[in-house]
This record gives sequence, structure tokens and C-alpha cells, in this order.
Amino acid sequence: MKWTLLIFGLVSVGLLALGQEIPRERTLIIATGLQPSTLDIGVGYEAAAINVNLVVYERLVRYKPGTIEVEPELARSWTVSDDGKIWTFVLHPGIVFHDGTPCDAAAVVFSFQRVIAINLGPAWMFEPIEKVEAVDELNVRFTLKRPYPEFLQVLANIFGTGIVSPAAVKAHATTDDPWAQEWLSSHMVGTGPYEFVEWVKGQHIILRRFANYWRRGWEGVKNNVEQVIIRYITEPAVQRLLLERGDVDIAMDISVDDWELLRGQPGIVLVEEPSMHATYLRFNCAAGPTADVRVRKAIRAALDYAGMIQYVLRGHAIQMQGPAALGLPCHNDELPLPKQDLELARKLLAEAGYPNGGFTLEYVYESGHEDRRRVGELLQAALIELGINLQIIELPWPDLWERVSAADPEQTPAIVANGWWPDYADVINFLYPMYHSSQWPPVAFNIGFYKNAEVDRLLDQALVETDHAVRCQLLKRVQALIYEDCPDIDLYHLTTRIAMRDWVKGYVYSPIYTEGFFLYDMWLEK
Amino acid sequence: MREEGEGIQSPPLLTMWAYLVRRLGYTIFTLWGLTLITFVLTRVVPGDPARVAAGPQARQEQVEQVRRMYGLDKPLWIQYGIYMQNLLRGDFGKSLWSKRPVVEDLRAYFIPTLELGLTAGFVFFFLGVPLGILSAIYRNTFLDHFLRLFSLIGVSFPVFIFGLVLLLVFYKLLGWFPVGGRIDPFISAPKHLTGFYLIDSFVTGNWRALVSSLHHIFLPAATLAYGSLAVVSRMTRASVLEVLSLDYVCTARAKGLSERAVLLKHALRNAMIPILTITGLQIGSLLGGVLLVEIIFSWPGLGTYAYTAVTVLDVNAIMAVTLTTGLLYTGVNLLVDLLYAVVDPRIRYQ
Repeated sequence: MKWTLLIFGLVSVGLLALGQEIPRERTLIIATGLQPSTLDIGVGYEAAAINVNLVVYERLVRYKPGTIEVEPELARSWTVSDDGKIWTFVLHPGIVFHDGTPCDAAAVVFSFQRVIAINLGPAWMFEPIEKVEAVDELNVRFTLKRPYPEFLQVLANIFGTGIVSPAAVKAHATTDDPWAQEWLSSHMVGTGPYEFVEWVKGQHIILRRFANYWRRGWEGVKNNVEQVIIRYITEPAVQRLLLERGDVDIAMDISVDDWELLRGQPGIVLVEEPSMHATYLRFNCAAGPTADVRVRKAIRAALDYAGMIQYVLRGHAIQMQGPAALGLPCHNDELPLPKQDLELARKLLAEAGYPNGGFTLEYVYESGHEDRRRVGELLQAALIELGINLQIIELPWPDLWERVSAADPEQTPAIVANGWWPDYADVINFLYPMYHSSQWPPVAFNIGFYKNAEVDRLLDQALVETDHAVRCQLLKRVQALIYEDCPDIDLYHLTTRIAMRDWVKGYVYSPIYTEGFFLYDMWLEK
Repeated sequence: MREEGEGIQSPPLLTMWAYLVRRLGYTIFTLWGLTLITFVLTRVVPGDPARVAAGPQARQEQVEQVRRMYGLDKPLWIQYGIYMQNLLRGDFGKSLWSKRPVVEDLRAYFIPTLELGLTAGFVFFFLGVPLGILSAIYRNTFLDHFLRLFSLIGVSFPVFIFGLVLLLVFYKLLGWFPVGGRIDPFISAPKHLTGFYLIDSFVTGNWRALVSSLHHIFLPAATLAYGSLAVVSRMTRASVLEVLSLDYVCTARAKGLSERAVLLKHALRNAMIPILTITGLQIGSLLGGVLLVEIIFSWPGLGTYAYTAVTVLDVNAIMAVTLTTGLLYTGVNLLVDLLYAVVDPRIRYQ
């Protein structure tokens, strides 16, 4: 039996090897467990689509590899009016889409009009746009309803900003589907260095080098990757096996246990960088015991932060400093890092009228987030010492959302473990949706019904302030006020872990496009 | 399910047809019940499908736009009426998650599951029955003891443990079989005829694709089949042994028939009824095991699709998956019932 299998295996491998069109040596294979729900750049709004979006589509501007600095991409330059309401971008000439049609100002206009008209997923970021028009073949003008200081950051973000071929959209549009959403949900036509070949759902997406890529073409570049295969491998342990045998070059979802096993293995390179993903415990600030700021601060003082990083997250996270992500411009670096102080916690509880605790709080987290469950258990253990009973409840996302989007704070849990990804590199992307009182449920993400009139005022001001230094002061002040009001416990930034073979060269981590690869600058040395 | 008559002639054709029509009626009724229950359940569970579909940052008016787009703003009974009307035209609606027609997603994910399930079914039946017969013939010999142990392991091992063991041995250590997907990504999928890679590549003579597909399906199918194979082989052994002790077998032997003829022509046919019953039930249990196997081997099937649909409250996708699985299950049941008559002509359908 074994011999039969061996012969069968060898013959098959031999047969497979004979017919490869693009050799393995010039193919980069990425294993990931996350498959996008849609490839439509105007609809998709999920981390799973970042890797394909980043190389198939291009934006007017992008985040420079390895940084959060904005640099030109399709646009070679831009100007902004003094009132910050008119932005004009000048495109590089001679850019063509993968279908051979030119990428000009009209195409840019069309792409933005499409996203705004569809009005799903990423469209909320373009709400301040009043109109977008082509001045001439290479000049695009955006007229905004109000100054939008973070507009450039928004344009560099990955969602909704990629420029899509109008010809391809029009060719597949129907009366019922004028923006060809159905077709674009499983096809892509952009201007990036790699063009879309196929998506076999549940299996893989294949991208191939775009011969007419505009930037510097393919002559004289180190890149030798002719084909990219993104394989959807649901089980992290299998990703590790595939990486070890060299059947994939990059594995995106290595578990913490496997990470340790891979450490030091020859031929494997482990990349670990702090992400801007933030995890919080959001308090209900409008009902129950946590409506009292002293109770909230007592709970904040009860948590063992060092234990959380060391034991719960096994070192694969860094503690947050305030409500916005570390590393962003205008982050307030002067805020204290909370530490466990049970004496302070007892004192605050006594001041609030609960010297012996004596109440129960609900702690709700989303299914699948084991880190949040374990943080809950850590907090539960600490709160027992204060006489507070923490009831940990796991809910699937739709159920959790139902609980936290009720307009009545009485129905909202006392504590919700919650995560936040920045769409673009600006602290206001954290502060406004989560802390402005206009964002109370069911409208948006101020799920703890936090309200501070001063915070609202400063945020409203920052929303339209075009002077960067002044705006930064406003936003730093907001962070300090929020820290003082303690509407949440700012927990940690998980690290991004990517394991790859040592023959993969040129990889640069992007703090914003965390799941993405600047493939044009990468190559294989096998 | 079945009632045994006393005669030995074939059932009258009319009775058979009447039975078939009645059973089809029951099937349609069952499926209708399934639509009703699933529809109500997906609408009453906590969570707002429109909110999930609109995206996490969506404004309230965007959510309302999605609600209108998918008809979720209408009263429940009108929603159900529209759903059923579309369903009768073969339209499962649009997925709230992928924004594609559910039929399109279903086609992409259901056929791989069916291919894996049928291959596993084929393996466990056509391997399990002969192994059971061998056990019965050589009862209480080393072979029988060995097969008993083999079956015991198959029944006792959870499918995900067995899958991981196969993966470690045959992929990591020996490197004989690949893991992930239905075909090597370097090889184009065979021309679409049925969607089954094994059949399509065979029919079109695409031998590279056939070899690669066989190569890829081997481990997941073996994992899925093992438990059922064990059950079927034990049931076959017991059933054959029981029949072999009956008087008519003695008579057959006394007539001087060869042992082979006694076994295959006389004993096995009578032993088949319980084997068919257990096979039908095992195919049902395969549908449960397939989710785990699909996850372990990254098989692009309905399991992961269904899991995602449930977690994001994609109501149309949940309905479609439930109905398709229900249809498959009732179809297999009906088929098994009809096979009873083929195997044992004494059976009457009334």
C-alpha cells in the first residue's frame, strides 16, 4: 500500500512539475486565513482585501512603505486652497489600466463618484466631498463641503480610494446594477503592478505581473516575482507546515505557540511589528455603577497590566497610552500608562459609596477573540478582591452589536471589550467616532454614551482646523480629557506577526496597510 | 419507512410510482417547513443583518438604505412571500455579505463539498462492505481481529485528530500528498462541465488536473471516510454473519453451490438492507464532519461558507445553505428507501 502511494505521489509530483507555466522560483505564495467577502474596491471594507487592493489598485496618494507619511502614487503633485476646501491633484501621464484604457482625470472622477453613489462600506470617509471634477486630462479637482484636514490621509487609505477602470465598469453595468457591483465583487481592473487573473473562491487568488506598468516598468528592478498566489488556508497550524516545507513563502496567521516553535528555525524569518489596532474595555458611562467616574477609575486601577501583556498576550502586544494609537501624529505622549494599584481602587470605590463593592457587572466580548476573554478573566480575578462580581459573556458580533447599538443605555452592558483599526493615520479617526456625543448609539461608535461638552467642542474645532500645530494641540487636549474621564480602559496594541522564508526579500512593514505587501519592491532569492 | 410484504414478485410499477410521488410530496413539504423555520429563526435572532451588511462604520441612513435594498424593512410575512416567490424561480437572493447572488456563491462552495462527500461516501461504502465481508468470512482470525482494531480506531478517533495525524504523516513527514485546495494552483482547473474536478478532468482528458485533483482529495476524503468506513464494515460483518447462519444458506451449500456464489448471490443480497440503512445515516453524519475536514485541509467547501454566513448574519446565505443541506439529506433518504426495493424485491411500498 505504502509503495503504491509513494509511486503515485512521485508520478503526480513529476507530472505537476512538467506543466508549470510560471516556475515556482518566480512565484510568491502567501498563505492567509482571511478571504475577502468582495473584491469591489467601492464596497469592501475589511482587512482581508488589503493585500490584493494594495497591488492591483492604486490611489492618488499612498503611505510611504514603512511609514505613515503620505507620498504621491498616481498623482505626482497636489495643491490645496487656503480655506482647505479645494484640492487639485495632477496625475502622472501615460498610466494605463490593466484593460489597456488610459487612467486619466475622468477615471479618477468616475471612481470617486462610484463609491459615493454606492454609499456602502468606506463611503462615510468621503462624506465631506461636495463634488469631484476633471479639470483637464490630468487635473482632478475635489471641492469639499468643509475643510477636511485629514483629507490627504483619507485618500491614502486603502478602502474606497483605488482607481478603477471606467471602461470595465461600464462594460459590465446593467440597468439594475449601474455600477457593475456584481461583476466587480469578483474581478479587479486597476493600474497596479499586478493584474488580477482569477479568484477560485475558498482556494486562491492569482495575480500576474502587469507588463505595461507605468512606474519604472520592469527593466532594471530587483523584482522577479512574475506571479503571486494568495492561498486561503484556514487552519494556522497548516500554514506553519506549508511554510516549513517551503510550499508557501509567507504565512500570515501563525499562532503564538507555533511562533515560538518557528523561532530560530533555519530558513524562516519572523517579522513582528506593533500594529495600530487598539483594544479597549468600553464602560457604560450613562447607566449602572460605571456611570460614576470613580467606579470606572477604580476598575482601571484594578487591572494587572504587566500580567496582561506578559501572560495573557505572551509579549505579543504593547500597552496603550491613552485612547489613540501610539505612533500617530498628534498622539499625546504625556499621558500616564495605567498601572495596577488596588489601594487606589479601594479608595475610589469607597468614595463612590461602594467600600465593599457588592455589585455585579457584565463584561461582553465578541466570539473568537480569546485575548479579550482572558483579559476578562484577569480583570474578574482582580475585581473579586474589591467585592465586584464580573460576569463574562461571549456573543457573536451581530448579537454584540445589537446589545451595544441600543439607544437606551440601560440595555448596554457595563463593560464591552472592543477593538478599533484606524482607517487612516490620524488620531481623529479614533477620537471622533468613539468619544463625540453625536456618535452615541445607534448612530455610531460612542457605545458607552460618553459625553463631555469640552471634548465635543474641541473635536468640532479640530474637525475643520487646517493649521496642523493648532489642530494637534486641540487633539492632544481631547486625549487628556478623555483619559481623565476614563470612559474606557485603553488596553493594548497587538503586534502584527508575519512569518516568511528567508528567500523573500524587500519586505517592508506598513503600519497602516498591515496586511499588505509592496510587491513591486520585493523579490525572491531562491 | 418500509413495510415488508410476503410475496416474492417485483412490486407493481403503479405502487412504486405512487410511493415515489407520495415521498416527493413529503420531501417538498419538509423543505417548505425548513424554509419557514429557518426564515423565522434568522429574523428573530438578535442582530441586525442590515447593520452588518452596511459595514461597521456605516451611518444610520446607509443602514436604512441597505435595509430597503434587501427588503428587510417590509413586514415579515411579506418578506417571506417575496422570498418564496424568488425561490420558486431558483433565486436565493443576494448575499448581504459578499453582495453577490447567493446562487453564485453556492455553486462555488457546494460542489467542492459534494465532491468531497461523495468521494468519501464512495470510499467508505466500497471499501467498508468488502472489509466487513472479509471479517465475516475469516471471523475470529488474525485478519478479523486486525479489522476490528482498525474499525475501533476509526469509530473512536475524532475526525479533526485523525485529519491532523494524516497531515503530519503524509504531508509533513513523507510529503506524499499536498494540503490546501482542490488542485495545485499552478494547474488550471479543468473545463467546467459538472464542477466536479475529478469528473470534469477525466471527461476532458485533462490528466494533469485529474492527478492533481486526486492527489488533493485523498487526505480529506480519507479523513472523512474513515469513521463511516469503520461503522459500515462492522455492520456488514454482523449482517453477513447473521445471514450466513440462516437455513437457506445451509440449503444453498447443500445444493453444492460454491462458497463464493453462496456469499455473493445469496447471503450478501439479504444482508444489504441494514447496510444500506446505516450507509444512508452515515452520509448524513458526513455532512456534519465535513466542516471540520474542510477547515483542517482548507477545502473550499460549504462548511466555511456556512460558518461565515452565520457569524455575519447573512440571512439569505444561511437560508440557502440550510435548504441545500436539507435537500441533500432528504434526497439521500429517499434514495436509500428506493434502493431497498432494488436490493430486496419482497419489499412493498404502500
